[in-house]
Amino acid sequence: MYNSNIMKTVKKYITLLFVLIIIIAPFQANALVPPLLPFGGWPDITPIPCTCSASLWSWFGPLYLAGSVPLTGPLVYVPYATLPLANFLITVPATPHLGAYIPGVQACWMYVGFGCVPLPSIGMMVYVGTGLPGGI
Amino acid sequence: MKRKTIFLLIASFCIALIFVAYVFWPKPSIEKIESLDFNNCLVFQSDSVEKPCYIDRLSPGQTNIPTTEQNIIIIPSNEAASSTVMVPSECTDSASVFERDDCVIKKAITSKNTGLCTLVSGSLAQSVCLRDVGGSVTLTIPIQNQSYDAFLRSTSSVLPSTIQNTVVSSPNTYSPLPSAQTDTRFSADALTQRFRESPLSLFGVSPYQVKPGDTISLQGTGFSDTNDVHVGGYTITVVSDDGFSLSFPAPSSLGEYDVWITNKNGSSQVIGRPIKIVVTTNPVPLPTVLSVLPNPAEYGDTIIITGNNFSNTNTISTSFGIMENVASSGGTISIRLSDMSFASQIKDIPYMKGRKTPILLYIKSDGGVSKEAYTFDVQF
Repeated sequence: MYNSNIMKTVKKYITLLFVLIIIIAPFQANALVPPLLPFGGWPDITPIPCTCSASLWSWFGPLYLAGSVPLTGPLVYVPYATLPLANFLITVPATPHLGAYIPGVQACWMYVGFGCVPLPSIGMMVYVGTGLPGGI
Repeated sequence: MKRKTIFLLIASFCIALIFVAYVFWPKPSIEKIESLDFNNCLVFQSDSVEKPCYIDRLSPGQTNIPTTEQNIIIIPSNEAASSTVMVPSECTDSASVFERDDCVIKKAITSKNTGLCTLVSGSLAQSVCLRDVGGSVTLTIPIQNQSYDAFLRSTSSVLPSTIQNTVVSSPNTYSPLPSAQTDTRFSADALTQRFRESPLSLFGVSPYQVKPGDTISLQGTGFSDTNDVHVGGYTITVVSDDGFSLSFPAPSSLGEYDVWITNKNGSSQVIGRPIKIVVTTNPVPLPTVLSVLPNPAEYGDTIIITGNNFSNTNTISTSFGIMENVASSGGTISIRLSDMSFASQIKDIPYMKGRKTPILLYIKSDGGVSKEAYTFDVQF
């Protein structure tokens, strides 16, 4: 009887340990810092230089954001703020890009009239790495 | 039964031990170089004799390489600190920076050019320390961890440079960085820091027309902890928390003023491109967009924008480009999408055929730029 109780307790602790391992282990990996969101895609056209903000506006298509459906749209590369990673061919057309962006931040501004106006984009790249032109 | 119990106790102890080891065992680290101790360390390997590029890891006056490796600016030695560096698309020259204690070739170069280069760097994903770049150097030393490579894009105006000397480092000049798991470059704080260290620029002012004492918000880059905001003849010192925005009260005197900022990063003034505000007792409110029809629109459609506070002439900015001097009539504006500045380029993208894409729209009127982007769809 006594041994049976010990067995039950031991089994309980072993089960608890496994559960802990399963729950905690995934959090040992590095994670993106919110509110950064992942993106991947290919620029389609020569990037547009933003005359006020010294950034580059680039139209991506296909553009993979958080969802599985490919989209199209512009993202902005800011030379000083965006962290560039290998192969550094950022905004080069037909070159695969992968990185993270902040949605809704307008980082491309063009000078018109008495000031600057945002050239709208989906967001600003925070860090980005590239493949080689023509790569997939 | 007793043996079984002991066995289970030992087993559970082992599992607990494994778990503890798994959690607390030091993870494999990726090392890179934190600092280099060369005098005015210029580190580069050019791939082209005709168009060698100049890589200066140091901003003028600095004596150590910044610990944050990103966004290194190449500043020709005969040129003062530059405020604007663009990455020209035609620049494809490559160079590699080799910074490891077990694999080092250093050359210092004095540039004769006045063009600008941007060195983008920071790869932690290379497996070979030194690569053959354009046949100039071939040396491959396998490394255990990671190398630190860089890619240089130069302008076509870069002139031949002179190699001054070759420096071979000693391992003692390096100190390892913390592991990749503590690499803060990918954090939001690092982004803020990069904004703070960017060249000073000012591009967003909202609202454009204000009453005396109203709060004006500025957006730009390179805003430091303390910034002097100049409004005409007035100066006010303002703190920026994030490096790209700040707010300040409008002056009490009425009038139209140029706005610019000065701080430790320089001045935001650009000759010929003033950023203005108007202090008035009766400011024109910001424009707002209420609807865009048809939605979804087709590429060739004329869209009708309905909203408030439009002026006689407005600037329309969409994901298809910018259109200036657009007249409004009774709170509506009509424009043809295909007339936008980049519309034809986007239409010609093969991937766009048959797709529906969301388009963002801003309007700039006499009151300033609409606060929020209005989104509508366009069917290709």
